[in-house]
Amino acid sequence: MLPHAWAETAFADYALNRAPEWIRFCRYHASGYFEVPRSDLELALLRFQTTRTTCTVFENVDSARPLYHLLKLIEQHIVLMALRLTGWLPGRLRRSIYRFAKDRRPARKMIIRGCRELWRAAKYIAHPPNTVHLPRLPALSPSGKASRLPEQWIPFEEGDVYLSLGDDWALKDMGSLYEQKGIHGFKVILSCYDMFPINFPHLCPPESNALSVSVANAAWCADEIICFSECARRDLHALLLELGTPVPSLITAPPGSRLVEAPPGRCAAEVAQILQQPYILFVSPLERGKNHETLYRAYTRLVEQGMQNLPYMVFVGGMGWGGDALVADILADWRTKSLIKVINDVSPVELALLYQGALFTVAPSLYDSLGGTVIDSLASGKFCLASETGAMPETGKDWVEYLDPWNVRQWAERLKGYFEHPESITAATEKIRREYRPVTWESTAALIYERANNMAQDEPTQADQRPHSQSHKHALKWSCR
Amino acid sequence: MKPTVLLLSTYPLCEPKNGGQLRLFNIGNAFAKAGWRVESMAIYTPEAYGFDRIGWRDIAFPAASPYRKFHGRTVPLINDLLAGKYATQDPRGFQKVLKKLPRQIDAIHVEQPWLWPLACRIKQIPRYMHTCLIYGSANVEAPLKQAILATYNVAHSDEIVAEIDALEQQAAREADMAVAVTQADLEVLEKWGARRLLLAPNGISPWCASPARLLRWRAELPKSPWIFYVASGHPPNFTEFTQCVGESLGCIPPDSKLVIAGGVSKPLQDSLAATRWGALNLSRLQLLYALPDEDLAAVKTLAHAFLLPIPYGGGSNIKTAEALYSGAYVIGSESAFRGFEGLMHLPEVRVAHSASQCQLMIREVLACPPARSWENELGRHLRKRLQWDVCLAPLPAAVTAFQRNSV
Repeated sequence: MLPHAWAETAFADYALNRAPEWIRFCRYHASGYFEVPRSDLELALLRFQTTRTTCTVFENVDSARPLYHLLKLIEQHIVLMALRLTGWLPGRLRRSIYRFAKDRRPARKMIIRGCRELWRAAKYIAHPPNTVHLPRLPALSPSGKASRLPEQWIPFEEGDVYLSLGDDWALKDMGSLYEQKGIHGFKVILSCYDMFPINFPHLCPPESNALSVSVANAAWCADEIICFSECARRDLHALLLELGTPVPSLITAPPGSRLVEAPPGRCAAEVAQILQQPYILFVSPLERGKNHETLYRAYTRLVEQGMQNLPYMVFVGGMGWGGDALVADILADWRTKSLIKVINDVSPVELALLYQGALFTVAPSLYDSLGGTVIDSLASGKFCLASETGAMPETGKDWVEYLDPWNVRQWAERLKGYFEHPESITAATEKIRREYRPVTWESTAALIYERANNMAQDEPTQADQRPHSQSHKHALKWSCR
Repeated sequence: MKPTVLLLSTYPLCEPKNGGQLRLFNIGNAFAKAGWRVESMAIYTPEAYGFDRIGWRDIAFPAASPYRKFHGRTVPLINDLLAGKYATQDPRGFQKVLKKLPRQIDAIHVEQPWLWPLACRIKQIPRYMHTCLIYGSANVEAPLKQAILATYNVAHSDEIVAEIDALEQQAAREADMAVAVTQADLEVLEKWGARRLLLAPNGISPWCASPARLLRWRAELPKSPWIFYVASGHPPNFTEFTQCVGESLGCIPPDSKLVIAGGVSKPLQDSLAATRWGALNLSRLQLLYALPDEDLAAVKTLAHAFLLPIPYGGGSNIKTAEALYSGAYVIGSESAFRGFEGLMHLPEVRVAHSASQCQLMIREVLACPPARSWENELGRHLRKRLQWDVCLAPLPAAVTAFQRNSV
């Protein structure tokens, strides 16, 4: 589950149980804002807590259902099977096929997205959902014209605080939001999770290049931005100075762990098989920036050095940008095909079990603004070997060992060191057990709520110099995706 | 009988668009207003001005001419210098000049140093030996050309710059009168040995937009306050833009734009798109390209602020004069206000000393209510002095006085 999904779920839970009735919730989709009634939200939370599915409460209704989950699983298995089949082809032909498929990846995603939308549309025709449709904010025309929408259709009013914990930069029309904010005078709190596509656009899909537009527009919209690590806050601050936008208040809200409790006996066969062997674990999407390649190369070095009885290296994560080529190499490489296990989809319970059973974890990401892998590792009491970049040192402090993500030799040496001296792993694990106290999502949600509530009580800020009328007592707060 | 002044330049004057054309065109108007007969002759490059209207005395610098090479080498961006050599040293070129010279010439005004050798050669003709030679220095050309050639990594630029420097100094020394656009340039000419000096700054022609054009452009342009940049395709207008404003246009709000007009539109768009923040920059641009005068007048009237990202160079800029005359906010580098130092203190003027400061000023200005400096008596008075007829009136008077004294 993505970080913003955790933040939304945690905050929804907090707000439903502890926050006043005048907080309202909505979901953002390409066609607009849709209010989510409290009763629907309560049901979705209950479903999440009892079934432990990977969905977030704010995903589409059908995403909470097993069929959607199953379809996603099938899709990923098809990709993996295709990779295995093509792994037997000659190198040149294999690369041509990969290149052909890679160049058409956006089209593939569009087809899949289109099929999903058709399915949703069919269901809505058959059974219209019990929601209030709030029309979308108008997109800016090239000349920047926009009109004030009819009074009764605007979901946000003067004095309200619009809080969004979703993936704002990729999904929402910040330009329109800015314009409507100027007309209606509401305040805005947005979120910042991941600076990687901005700092390393060459390692991300081409559409990442347009993120600078969203970031700049978000900075113009927001009265405050919640950053989920000090690293992200620093990066965002530096970025906004470079872009020349206003710099709103930037707050750090440390995230909790993404792991759930793991009752024994509930996992797939593939996972069960891994749990019976010694292994080290890396949980992250399989994409170039996460640097699985360094671990793969380190392991090949260890094999070539003649090291015996190497534990499994388990990669858990969905296929991301550039990940398919690496997986193909791993599966085709005789040195690693039996040692490195790639699992694209696990349930939250299975993930928790994998963490519990690992010797230790690794996190060689080139840059991670959140440090989520380290947080999860420490929360499950596991030592982590992590890269020295991004938010890793901030989250891992002195419970984690840090390495240069580009230095394959260093990684090989340290892995070998820990494999040959398991007592050092034990000592590190003991230190974590003694000293580490995990941050909970509840505390994160409480901090966010406090910020939003304070803003709702404040007078209009200097951030928006356009004239406001007197602010209302009631704060209308939306937690949107 | 009216005295005759011949204006020599490397650009035609029938349809003045760029700063150099506008200045020389208005110099001609000043002479005409003072009772002179004005003739102009341009040695022009057809590829740059081929689609413009050409005067009958104007002479094309052929693309196939051997004088298109500098000491046997093809060098870009110096056709102005080479046009002077063609007109003076090529027998066929000079013959064309001779055929088109007016019967009577009392003064030759050479705008920029390129055609100075031609003016001197004309004066050697017996019927023109009493002609007064005026050197109009619109700029100190050598350092400007050096910067342009360096931007494009042109080889052997030192040799070219040295030749231009020598030409400028020769013109200043030999001229009967040298005209500068700024006090700083005046001091340079004096140092080079100019005998008679005159300061004639750049100015503007007041514009008036029709209600119909204003209505049309109000609908086309952003509803929120926006900032305007108009310039020609002269390389420093876009190559050094990011040096003045920074690589990102994030300082412009999502509902606003940097509106760009003139020949700088396309090259600046390309330049901003190539930066790290290309997608953001493109989202903040609205390109108008070349506009007819009536449309340009409307756009200038509607602009909330003007941007003057001028990093270096001698002389002064007509776009600065226009921006100051408009009464809107003006944000520019220190170099942009060269020659207009007396107006830098106006409340709507912002001088940026760095890119980050420029971005901050753009943000602030776009959040301010419209500037109303025309409502102020002092503002009106200062702006009236920006008009061409006020700036250039001393020139024909000085030339007439010189001629009277030299008889």
